[in-house]
Amino acid sequence: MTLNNEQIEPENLNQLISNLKKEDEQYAGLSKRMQYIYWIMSLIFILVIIIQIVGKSNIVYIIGNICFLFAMLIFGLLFKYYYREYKYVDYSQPTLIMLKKAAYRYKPFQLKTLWVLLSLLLVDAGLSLNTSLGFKFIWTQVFYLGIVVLATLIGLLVWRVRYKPIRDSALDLIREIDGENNARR
Amino acid sequence: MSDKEEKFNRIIAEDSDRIKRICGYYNANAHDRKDMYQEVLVNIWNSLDNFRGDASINTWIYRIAVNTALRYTGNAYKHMKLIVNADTQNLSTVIDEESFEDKLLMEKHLSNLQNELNLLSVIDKALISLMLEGLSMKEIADIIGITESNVRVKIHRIKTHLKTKLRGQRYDTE
Repeated sequence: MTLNNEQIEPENLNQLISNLKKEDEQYAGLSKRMQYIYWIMSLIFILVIIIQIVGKSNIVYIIGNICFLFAMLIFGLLFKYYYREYKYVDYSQPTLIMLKKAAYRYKPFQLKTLWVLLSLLLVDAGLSLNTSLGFKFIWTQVFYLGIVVLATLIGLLVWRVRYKPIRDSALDLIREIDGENNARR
Repeated sequence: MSDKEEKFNRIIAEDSDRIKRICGYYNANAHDRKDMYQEVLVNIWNSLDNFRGDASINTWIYRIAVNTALRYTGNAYKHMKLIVNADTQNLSTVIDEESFEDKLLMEKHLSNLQNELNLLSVIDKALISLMLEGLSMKEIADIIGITESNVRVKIHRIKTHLKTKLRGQRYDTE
């Protein structure tokens, strides 16, 4: 079967390439900007911690800022290593591997989730210990943890509507190729 | 022109017919074929940085095309169609019978084959589309990610199934 009568015109192809290049540049730009933000925040916290140590500030405040620093570092590293993985699917892998990766990517809770949880707890500890910020412990917990729980619920709702069907489709296809036994690994 | 753009243009120049054929297997109308073709090109571009030469460029392109077809049909993948017609290359390999091919070229039998193909599972349709491309069992195994013997078994099963069904229909009409 030939489809020569449906050639994509050269100018359309050039347009496509130009759009793809623009998207690559936007991705690189966004990725760099986000990483800069995390690294600059980390640097600021390092400076604050040094100033607090030199100024013999309350040790609890210093520990609070160390918690913030580690949270920023973890967010920065997670972003650096996993943003591309989530943004682009590698379609050049064997079908079975691509499907297994898709099924894993759309799992609501993964090992990586623990790092996000750790960062969130470090921010919580930072907010609670750093009483110089003027936040009352109980209200910090109510608001901060309330926002975290609400965001998690919204995330799960989005996952249920948008990503669970994709994961289910991928699992169906894996079962079809690979057999029932290995599908829910 | 960047190295990536050069590679991309070379692939389009050398393999666009192959990609279009694959898109043709999965889409009945020209508009959908064009959309999927464009989607395959986008995925080729996004995967170019990962091309290490471990697989041949042909295998690599077929992987992207088949994987895009699976993804492209999204949640409706179960209704993914496999389109064949009298011009489809290697059509005889699906049935393995020269005399039967003559019969199939008659419009009715071709339409029966078309119907039976569309009752196959999604992966079986993908396997048949790669067979129609004239790929070896080894190449198909590299694309799908299963062993060569597994591909042989699956294809043998599909062929037996199709032959049984089409023979049954032939006797019904005689």
